[in-house]
Amino acid sequence: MASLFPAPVPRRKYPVEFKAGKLKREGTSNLLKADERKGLIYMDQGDDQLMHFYWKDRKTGNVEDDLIVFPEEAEFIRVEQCTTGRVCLLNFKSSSQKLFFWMQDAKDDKDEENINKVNRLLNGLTESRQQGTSSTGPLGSPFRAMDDLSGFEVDQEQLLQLLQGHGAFGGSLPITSTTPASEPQSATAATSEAGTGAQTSENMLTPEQLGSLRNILSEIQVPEGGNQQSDVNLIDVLTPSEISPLLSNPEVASALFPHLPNDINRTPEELREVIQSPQFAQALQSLSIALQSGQLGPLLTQLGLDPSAGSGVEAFLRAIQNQVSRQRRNNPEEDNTDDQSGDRMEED
Amino acid sequence: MSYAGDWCLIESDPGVFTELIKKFNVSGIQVEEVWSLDAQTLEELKHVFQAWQFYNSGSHPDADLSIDDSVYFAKQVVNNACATQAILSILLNCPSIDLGPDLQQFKDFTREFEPSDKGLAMTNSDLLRSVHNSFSRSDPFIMDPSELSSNEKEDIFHFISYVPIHGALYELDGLSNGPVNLGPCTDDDWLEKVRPVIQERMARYASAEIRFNLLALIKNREDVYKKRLESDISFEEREELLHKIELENIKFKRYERENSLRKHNFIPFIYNIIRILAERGELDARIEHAKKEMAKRKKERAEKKKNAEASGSKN
Repeated sequence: MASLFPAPVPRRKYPVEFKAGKLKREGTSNLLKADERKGLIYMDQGDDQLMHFYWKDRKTGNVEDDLIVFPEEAEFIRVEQCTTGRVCLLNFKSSSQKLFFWMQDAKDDKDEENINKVNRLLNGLTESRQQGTSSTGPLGSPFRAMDDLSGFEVDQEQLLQLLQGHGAFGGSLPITSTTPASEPQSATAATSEAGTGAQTSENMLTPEQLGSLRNILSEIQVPEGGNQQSDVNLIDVLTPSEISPLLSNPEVASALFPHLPNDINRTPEELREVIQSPQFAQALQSLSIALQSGQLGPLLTQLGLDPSAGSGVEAFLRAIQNQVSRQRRNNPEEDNTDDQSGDRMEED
Repeated sequence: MSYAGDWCLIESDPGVFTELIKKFNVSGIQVEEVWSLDAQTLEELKHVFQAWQFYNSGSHPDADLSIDDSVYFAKQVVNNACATQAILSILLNCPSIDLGPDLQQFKDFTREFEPSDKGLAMTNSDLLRSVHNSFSRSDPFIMDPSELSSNEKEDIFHFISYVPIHGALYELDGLSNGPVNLGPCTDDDWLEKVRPVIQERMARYASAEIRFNLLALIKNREDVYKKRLESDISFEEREELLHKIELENIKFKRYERENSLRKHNFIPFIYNIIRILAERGELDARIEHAKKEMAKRKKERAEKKKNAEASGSKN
C-alpha cells in the first residue's frame, strides 16, 4: 500500500512483544532443534476481535505463525529444566499442540514479565495470574513444573551454538569471555539486542558450564500425547455435513463399502445415512473416550500404527497422517485411496 | 450393589427392548415409548400390559413394605442389568404373556427365592446376560468403567415398573426392599389409576431436573390389528388397520437397521475414512475445525457455569 508520507510510519506497540526463536521437531523424531532465525513473538487482538499469538521472522518480516487463542485454551510456560536456554512453551490445553521458543533478548530481566503478559493475554485477564508453584528457580521467577514431559529431547549442541551466537544468555551463569564475538552479522544483531554492544562478555561458556548446561538440557522431555481432559472429539472431526460431500466420490465410497454392516446396501445414500445415524455418533464418541484413556495400544498396533503414538484423539489422527505420508514416500505411484490396513481388523 | 461384572450398558430404546424381549423367546410383545398420559394415548395403549418408566439414578422411591408372594419381585444386584431386570419384572408378573420355555423355566426355578436371590439369579443367568450384552456397543476394547467421563455417567438410568397384579397396582423398584402396593385396580382401570402416580413422579423429577422416559410393554400391535381384520369391520376401518400395519412394519424395519448399526464395529470404517481425509490432505482442516468447536464449547460451559453461580441456582 503506497504511503503518501515519505517517512516510515512508526509501528504501534503490541500489548506484548519480545525477541524469540523457535524450536522445531526434526522430521518425525522427537528431537527439538533450535531454528536459528531471529524472530519476534507478539500478541494482539485481530480484526476478528479474537486474541492472536504471532511469530514473525525479523529478517524477512514474514509472519510465519498466526494463532487464534481462546481464553483458557493455552498457556505460556517456561521450561523449568532449561535454566539458561530460556526455553518457553506455548502449550495448548485443548489439543496436543506444543510450540517451543527460545528467548533471544540478551538480557533476561524482562523474561518473567513477558511470560506473564503473554499468559494474561492468552486468558483475557487484566490482573496477573499466579503461575503454578511458587518455587523459585535460578532466575527468581515462579516456574511451572512440566511434570508430564516425556518423549522429546532438545538438540542441546545445536541450541548451545545458537545461544552462544546470539548472546541470548541469562545473567545467572557467570560467563567468562574467552573468544571474541561471532561473525559480524550476528554481532550486529547481538549488539542491538544487548543494547549496549557489551555482549562479548556474555558470549561464550566455559567447558564446565557447557557441560552442566548440557546436562540440564538433557532433562527436557516433551510429551507427544495430548492432555486427556481436553482433546478433540471425533464427532467434530467427522462432522456429517462436512464429510457427506466426500461420500459422493465413487472411489471414496467403494473404499468404505466393505466396512459397512452386512445388511446395509452399498450405495452412497446409505453411506450418508449411516454417518448421520446416532449409532455412528455413539461409536465416534466411544472411540474418542477410549483413545483418551490411553488404553488402545493393541488396537493401534492392529491398524499398523505406532502404539506409542500417545494418547488422545489428535495423536491418533496424526499417527494415521504419518502412516499415510510414510506409505506415500515408499510407494509414490500407488493409488492411495485403497484400504491398506483396515482389513487386518476383525469385523463382526 | 456389586460391581458391574459382565453386564454391559445398553441403550434405553424401544427398538432395543422389543428385540431383547424377542430374543428371550417371548412372543407377541413390543415396547413403545409413551409421550403423554392423556386419554387418547391411553386409549391407544389399551392393550398395554404394563407401563414402566426410568429416570436418572440418585433418587429412591419411598420405602415400601408389603411383601406379597404372588408378586415376582427381584432386587437389583447389578447396575448395568437394570433395564433387563425391569423388563423381566413385568414379564414375570403377567400370566397372560407367553413367556416361552426359557423364561418360564427361570420363573419356576426362582419363584420361591428371596428377592435378593432372585436378583442374583438374574445376574448369573447366562441366557439373560448374553442376550442383554448382545445389544451393547460392539467396541473391540473393554473399558474400565472408572475411565468413563462424566458424560457417559449421565446415561445410566434407573428403572421402575408399574404392573397390575391380581387386582392391585404395584410399583416394582429393584432398589427398594419389596413391591409397593398402590391400591386395588382392575385390568380396565389400572391405567387410569397409574396415571396420577406417574404424573406425580414426573413433576418431582422435572423440578429436580432429572430426565425420565416412559415406556410401555404392550401386545404386538400388528398381531392385534391382524386379529381385528379377521372380524366383520367396515371398509374404512379395514383401510385404517392396513395403514397402521404398514406403519408398524416400517417401524420394525427401522429397529432392525438401528440394532444392526448398534452392534456393528465401526472402527475399520472410522479408520478408513480418516485415512481418506489424510490422503486428500483434508485432515488438518478437520482437526482445526474440531479444536475450534472444542474451544467454543468450553467457553460456553464456562459462561454457563458463571451464570449459574451468579444466579445462585443449584447445578
